[in-house]
Amino acid sequence: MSVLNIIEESEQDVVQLEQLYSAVSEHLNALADAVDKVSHTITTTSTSSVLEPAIVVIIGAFTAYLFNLFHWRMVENRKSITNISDGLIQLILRLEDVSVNYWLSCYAGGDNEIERQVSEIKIKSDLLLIAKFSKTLLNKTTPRNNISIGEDLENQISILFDLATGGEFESKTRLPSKSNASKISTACVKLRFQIAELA
Amino acid sequence: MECGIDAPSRVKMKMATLNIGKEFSIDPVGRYYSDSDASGEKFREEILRKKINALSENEKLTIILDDGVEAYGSSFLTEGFAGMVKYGYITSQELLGKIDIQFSDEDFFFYKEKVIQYIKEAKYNSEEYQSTK
Repeated sequence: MSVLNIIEESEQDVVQLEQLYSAVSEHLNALADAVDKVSHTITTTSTSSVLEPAIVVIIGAFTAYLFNLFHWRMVENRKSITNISDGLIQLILRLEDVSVNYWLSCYAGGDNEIERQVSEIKIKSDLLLIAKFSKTLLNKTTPRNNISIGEDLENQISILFDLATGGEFESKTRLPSKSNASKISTACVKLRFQIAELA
Repeated sequence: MECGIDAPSRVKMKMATLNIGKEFSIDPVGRYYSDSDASGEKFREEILRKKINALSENEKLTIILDDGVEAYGSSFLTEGFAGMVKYGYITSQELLGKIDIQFSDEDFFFYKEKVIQYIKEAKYNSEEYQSTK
């Protein structure tokens, strides 16, 4: 639940950031207009010896302001990406734990029926959330001209989905499968590595 | 006269929709009849196959994935959809041409892609169906 909260909060941060950025942009435009007007007024009323240093100072201050704004935006964006990737890695760790335990357990005797169903629900919901938030992460990090990174990540999630919920998943007579548990663990490690690389 | 012509076509359009959550189960679980009351095998044999067979030549079956359903497993999707091809009821190409998978929750795009992948990968008539009922 805390993992979800982290991701949702970071998404909210992004929305707020975008709104803030939009508001700052509007103010910047207004400021630029004001500078133009002041500059125009000065050029029409003062001598050029006074005018030039004043304009240089104004432009310098304005450039520094813009630099700070974009730097701040980059830092916030980086923070948001880190939060999403951290949340995703936590989700994958949880999925690995639950699904490896599930595939190593024997429920064929009808024992632990509730435990089996809880594991199945967690596995399916974690996979769906991993697919969802991976898309969010890809949208923030992948350059549009490099779709192979996104495809690799989506393929790995697809492989993990097949391993974790394929075969005799949700069967009441399923026997433990050490081999499948091992494959799931490997697929989870690969996926975590890919996400860490993206972030 | 117009009503007489339009009424049957409206009925036919209704038949060409399959809402899994409403017409089958909000909790589709497992591969075989022995796994649950809402298995992939049951879905294929009792719902999907009949709906596909009832389609007219140029009609498509709109399948709604997410109305009440929270999630799917690969075992259900494979058995339910790819089983149609595997047991020789219809070819992959024909099946993909006859269904239109829809959802309102964007997260279910993942399942749509998986269903299409499973149907494409299934080998036509590669196994003889034996009911597990």
